[in-house]
Amino acid sequence: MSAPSQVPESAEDADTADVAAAATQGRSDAENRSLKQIAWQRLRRDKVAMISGIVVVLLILAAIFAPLLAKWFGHPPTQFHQDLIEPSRRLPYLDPADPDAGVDRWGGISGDHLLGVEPTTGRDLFSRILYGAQISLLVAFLATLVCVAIGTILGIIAGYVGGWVDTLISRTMDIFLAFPLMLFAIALVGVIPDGVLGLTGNGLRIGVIVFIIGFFNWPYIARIVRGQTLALREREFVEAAKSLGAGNRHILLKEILPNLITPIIVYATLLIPTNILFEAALSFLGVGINPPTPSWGKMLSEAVPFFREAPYFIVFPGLAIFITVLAFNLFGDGLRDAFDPKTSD
Amino acid sequence: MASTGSAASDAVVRVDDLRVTFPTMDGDVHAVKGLSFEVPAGGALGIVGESGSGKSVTSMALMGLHRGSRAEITGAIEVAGQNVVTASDKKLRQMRGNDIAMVFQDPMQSLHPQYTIGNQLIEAYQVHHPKAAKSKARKRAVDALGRVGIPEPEKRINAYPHEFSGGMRQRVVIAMGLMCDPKVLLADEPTTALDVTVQAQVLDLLDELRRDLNMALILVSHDLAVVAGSVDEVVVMRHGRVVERGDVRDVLSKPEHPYTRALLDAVPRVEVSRAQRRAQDRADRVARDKCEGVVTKPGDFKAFTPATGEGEPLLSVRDIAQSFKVRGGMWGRATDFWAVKGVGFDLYKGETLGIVGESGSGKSTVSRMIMRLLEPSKGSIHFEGKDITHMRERELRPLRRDVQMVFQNPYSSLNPRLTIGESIGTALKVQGERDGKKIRTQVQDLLERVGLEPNHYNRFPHAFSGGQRQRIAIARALILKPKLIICDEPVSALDVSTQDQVLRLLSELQDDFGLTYIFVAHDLAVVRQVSDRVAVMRKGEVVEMGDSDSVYENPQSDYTKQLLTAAPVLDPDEARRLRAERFAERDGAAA
Repeated sequence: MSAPSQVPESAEDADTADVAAAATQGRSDAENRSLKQIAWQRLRRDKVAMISGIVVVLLILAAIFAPLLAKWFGHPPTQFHQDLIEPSRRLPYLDPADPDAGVDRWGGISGDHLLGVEPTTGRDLFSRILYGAQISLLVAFLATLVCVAIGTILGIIAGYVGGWVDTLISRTMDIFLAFPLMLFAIALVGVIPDGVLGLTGNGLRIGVIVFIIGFFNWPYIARIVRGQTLALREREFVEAAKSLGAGNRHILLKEILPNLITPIIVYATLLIPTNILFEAALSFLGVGINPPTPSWGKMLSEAVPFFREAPYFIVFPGLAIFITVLAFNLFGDGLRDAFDPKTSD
Repeated sequence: MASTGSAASDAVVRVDDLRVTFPTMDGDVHAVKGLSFEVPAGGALGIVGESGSGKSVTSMALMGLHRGSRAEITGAIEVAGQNVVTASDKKLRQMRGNDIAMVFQDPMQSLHPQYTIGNQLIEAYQVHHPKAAKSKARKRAVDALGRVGIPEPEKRINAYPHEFSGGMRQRVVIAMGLMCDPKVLLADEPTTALDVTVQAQVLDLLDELRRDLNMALILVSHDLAVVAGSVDEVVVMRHGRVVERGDVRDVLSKPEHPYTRALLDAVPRVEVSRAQRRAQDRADRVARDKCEGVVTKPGDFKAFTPATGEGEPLLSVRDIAQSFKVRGGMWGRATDFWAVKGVGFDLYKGETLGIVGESGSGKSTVSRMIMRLLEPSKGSIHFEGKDITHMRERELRPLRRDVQMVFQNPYSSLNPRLTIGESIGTALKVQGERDGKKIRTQVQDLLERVGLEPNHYNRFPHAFSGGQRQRIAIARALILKPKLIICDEPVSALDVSTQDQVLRLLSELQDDFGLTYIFVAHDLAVVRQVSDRVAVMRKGEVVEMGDSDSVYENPQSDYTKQLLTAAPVLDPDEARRLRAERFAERDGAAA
């Protein structure tokens, strides 16, 4: 047998032929696409994710432009409309011009008040739900940010350093997850005096809620980050960076962190609805946002005594929470599928 | 010898114009574009192709495993007279196992870890014989295990998969395939995950079973040498098409298609020496340079011919050993496991040391110790006279310029989130270069040198094939102009034709930059062609070390001899002769 002769550049030719063939099959532009672009392409094909993504964007816009929308379509959220309320049953009139026509089980929905008015006070429900979105989303985003910040830093350290540091952080996570969070929140809101850290009123309440959610939910993010870091640490590209002389800082920030951003974004998106629900629950229990600032949870608790006579009052804030949470969850799932190389298209 | 025509009447497998198409979001992918073949009862067919050739898609289609996926299958697949494409799901389930059984690539994953192998074998039988008594099924299972060469089958039947080695597990998988006396055994890369000595045993077993049980065997592999000794007819596939089909002897000795010829030429041969390969590579290069108008005299390469045994060695390794803590059970005391126990050698500038061994031999651990990704538990390593054995990471940084590594898996050695330009440029950055433009120019020059386009700089790794990725990894290792490069299985994840190109590139770079290599691999032929000296490792120890030609032509240790006889051979007749020898030896030992 002779020495291996020159391969007639077959494989090289094959590669170019491949590219040509691929081009005809329509995956020519795959060459220069980044993973982000591929994920975006996949996301665009996912109808559920796209619709929920649009809902999420609309919700955020609605919260930001709540004052404008309230001005155009309704009334200020704290303005009373007692003239619309029948005083004895405290429900809106069916027809304010004709008090004898009785009360409306559907809250006096009209062109003026798109979703009707609150029983007792007559405040515009549409505006209150819009402003409620502000509070819900603000609290959820800030709390998620705190979770992500603490969770990422501690998770990456636990995963990368390992050893007793990992044990310490992991056990701390277990302790935090075992904490009776809701009880703690109720107690803390009661004892923190006004004016702490220069915060008063609702500023303080929001601060406390964000702190509680952020400080006790970070282990969810930290666990994921730790697991991913453990896996990434063993990958050959980390060893390759080490063998090029890269220090720990470079490896953590330049090699590992970019690979963590996708899972962090995905799980943060999935954490937002949990935090929305938590804020709503606290407000429902009366330890959330102070009245008269609108909050979805508070609205639900106010609606409970009326749920027979005025079901709309419980339905609309409930729907707001439901749609928001569902949209974030579906969008988060869509993001995860789009970024996950294992899900086939 | 079964030829295409004569088998028409008694063919158990008949595939006619098979086409498999996968609709994807980027358009249809035609994985198989018109494949036809027949296999007679007791015959053996090899399907050979590189990655992306459609060979695995074909074997899935034969089992009807594309059911329920989006794959569109046209054409006919007949197994034992039944059309797999049109059969009902129920019929198809009856056929699987009864008519056609499959052996998968990775024996570590094709057995259920929670059941004993006995349970799994018995289930394989009872699925098709629900009325059969358990005792009968069990007896069959014991027989099947005995048949595939598992010692003490009555005892071992109650063992769990993790209690078997990889080769033994693959035997169990084969035994499972045999439970219902299939007419066809389909083996998809059955030995790719196995060591060379185990590979020979499994291939011998498949060959023996086919003859004894008159089964048809379809052997799917990327390696021509694997099928050479085991099949009568061979189909060479490329990009979903058949490029050549015929008697295995004819195809291997007189290949008609240029692709088959190229593939055959690219297969590394254990009888080709380092000197021959090097001369050939240099001659090819001179010819190529001439086409580009550069005149290179063969003498120009002389300067880099290694100067063994003169002066101070570049690298001097003395008795290095590495232990890992192994915990026994939940509360068990940690014990030391010595992955490497005392390896030593000197390496001179321009020389290549090959380290060859099977999995678990400690060869990768040795390379990681020299790279100082691991700190040796014992012994010492001197690089250019400096003791680097216990240096700290900070002290090692200057050394990192001089010693670099090319990793095995080009898919995991490149960070998927960094462009390849960033990946290669990282080295310059961590070594203190701040000028972004300078880094970019240097990286682009190097990309060109390893055979890629400078404008690939901004692409992400996923846009490249395995061979291209390994070129990128080599560029990354070269950017700091190192003196020593440790190649840890640099070509084992690549197709043969790509493997050949990467080896050629490594050899050219050695000529150009006077590099010194440590080349770690399990493939004996590859190691011989690139190495001046060879160390054969087994269980953490060097069993034989010496000049590569003398180790290969006149091996001293039994283990080296065993490795060399187990290596697959391209010549079908030679392969059959070696197999007969192994059988004779085994029967002799049994008697």
